Amino acid sequence: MSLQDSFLEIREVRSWFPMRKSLFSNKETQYVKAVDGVSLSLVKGEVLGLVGESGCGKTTLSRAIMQLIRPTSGKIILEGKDLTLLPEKELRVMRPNFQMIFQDPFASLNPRLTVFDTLSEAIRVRHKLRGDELKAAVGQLMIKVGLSAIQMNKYPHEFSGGQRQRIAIARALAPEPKLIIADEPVSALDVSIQSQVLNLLKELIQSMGLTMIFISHDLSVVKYMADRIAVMYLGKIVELGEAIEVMANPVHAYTQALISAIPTLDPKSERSRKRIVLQGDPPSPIDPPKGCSFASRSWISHSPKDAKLDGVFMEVKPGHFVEVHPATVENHRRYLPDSKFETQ
Amino acid sequence: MMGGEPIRQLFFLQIFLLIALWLIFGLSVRETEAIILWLLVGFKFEMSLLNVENLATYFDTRQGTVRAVDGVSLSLEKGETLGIVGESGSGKSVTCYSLLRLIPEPPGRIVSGTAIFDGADLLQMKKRDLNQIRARKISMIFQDPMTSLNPYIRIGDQLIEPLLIHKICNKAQARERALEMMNAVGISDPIKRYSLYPHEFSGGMRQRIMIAMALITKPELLIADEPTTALDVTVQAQILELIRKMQKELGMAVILITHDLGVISGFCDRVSVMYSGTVVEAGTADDIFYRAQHAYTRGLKKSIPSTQEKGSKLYTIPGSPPQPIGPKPVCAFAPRSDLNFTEEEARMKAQFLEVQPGHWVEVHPASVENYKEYLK
Repeated sequence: MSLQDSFLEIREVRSWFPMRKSLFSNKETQYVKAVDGVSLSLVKGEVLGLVGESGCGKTTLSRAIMQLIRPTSGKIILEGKDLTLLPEKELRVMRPNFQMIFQDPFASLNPRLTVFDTLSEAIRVRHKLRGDELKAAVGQLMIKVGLSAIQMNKYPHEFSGGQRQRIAIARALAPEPKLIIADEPVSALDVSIQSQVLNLLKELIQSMGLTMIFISHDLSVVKYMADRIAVMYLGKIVELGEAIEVMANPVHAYTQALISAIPTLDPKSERSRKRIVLQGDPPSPIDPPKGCSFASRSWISHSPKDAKLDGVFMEVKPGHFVEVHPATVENHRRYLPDSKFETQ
Repeated sequence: MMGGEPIRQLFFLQIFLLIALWLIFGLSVRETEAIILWLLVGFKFEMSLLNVENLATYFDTRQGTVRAVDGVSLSLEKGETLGIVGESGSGKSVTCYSLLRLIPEPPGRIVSGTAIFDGADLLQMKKRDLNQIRARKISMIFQDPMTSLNPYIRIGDQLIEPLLIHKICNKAQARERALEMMNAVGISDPIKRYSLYPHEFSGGMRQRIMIAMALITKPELLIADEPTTALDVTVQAQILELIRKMQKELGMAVILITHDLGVISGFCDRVSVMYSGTVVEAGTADDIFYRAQHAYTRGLKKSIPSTQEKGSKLYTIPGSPPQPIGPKPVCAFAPRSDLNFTEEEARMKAQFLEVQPGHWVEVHPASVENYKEYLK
């Protein structure tokens, strides 16, 4: 993929947060390395699924892309413009182009604003409409997300969870964005409501030609939505590839564990099935251990010396990238015939 | 209702046998007493651990009376796992809160029903007696580990509270047991973590603390209200595995409440599906997952994303769950059903029938395709 046709280019983005030490301590400042060197690129109209546990940095990454927090280093290039270099004023002009849908529809809508207030504010960012024209635009938007225009003067508490998420989606669509980041848009919803919202998102992507980063901790949902999947672990991308390829042939041990955690509806096979249950919690992102961050939770045997070495992020198949390390990939010599690792 | 009939028959059979023995063999009074005692013990052993019949809990609101739970029957044997599945608002949580009388009264009120646990009715019991059961014989895990721990109290002190309240042991012993329990639920370095505050724990660890707290008194019944909903998929698997392990060790019964059918396949022995305050289908896990009859159960199963082909449109159950206010409809699911039925059929009364031994379904033209087989 050449640089020209990438719509969004994320290069070596780091987002570190300094930890406050005591006032007179002269120790070096420690950092929470929430996002630590992430590179991704999206073509127009693509849906990228970003998967990972809570605390792996997927929300921080999305906020960095949205410029809600300025990243510590790295470039975020949207349609040829580096957002990290733009001053606040110019960024404001750009903002309607990229919008976000948040996880919790109960917290992300202002309870004191009616649906009309919420949506009209977002529409007026782009179009200076008034009166009946504005009302008509709000009504159209509501119909687009599967609500009826009569409900325009209601407050968020009068809606169910699924309907609220529809309002949040409508608000994100109102300024006619090109890029949408959906941060766990369905995890707060019931399973039966989830599929309604997923259908809606999929329809909108197709009809409006949106580019989307779809964040979730649930691979079964991402598999359905995304063209490509990026798996994130402790601030880094550990596996990236076509959704079908990653689901069918996961290479990284962490991806394998995520896939094995998807429950099935077959009690008989479920009872006998051996799930990969990861041990413990991910290491803390405050000065994370040197070398492979997954080594402490991996079930693949590796020498302790290797755990201190970094993995190699490489293309194992065309378009399929994996962080290869003795602790993350079984039989790593297949990909790294003469590596520095001592594990055979 | 379920399982009640055979037990009663068995009991009468035993009485009959006793009288026969007394008449034919002319046993002495003392011998007869011994046999009666033996039979009673036998009878109690046969009885289920928990037997809920026709439970109804209403809430009085400004909009009218909400029939949150409307005639729910459940039964649970010792060591068994029961799954209760339903959408939010179907009354699954209220059912379990009612059992421990955790419903705020008013606006809530338990209108009818019995809940026999260990031979006593939980719903009629004095508050003082109920407190002897709460957290000792029946423990509960709540949905949100972030809000159900007290942020001002150290983890250790919260953990040993049930032991101290029930005067099971002294503080030093309680601490020992808490450390053991923290180890058992997979919290490393328990001695250091014992004196930490909840905010210093991750979500998965907090949920493990909740489980440790619920199990520290070795209860006979654990009620887990969506224990994994707030957690990541990988941690979900860990927590379910943990509950199962502890269940085996302690031999306790578990009621698992969830909105996700996927979570409970392979975990539960029996499953009850709730809709709009009533149980619409109940049976063994195999009954529900392989031979589901009710249109709602089938819809729930079909709407899970992992079961669907990529690229196709996801199946959804049309409409949204009804508000259980106002007069009770003959079949609450009828407005959302995708089955074909005439208006005349829609007026028929739904019946909760045993379609296969142990497999109960609310049969109505709108809910079961071949209803004519069951409804006369």
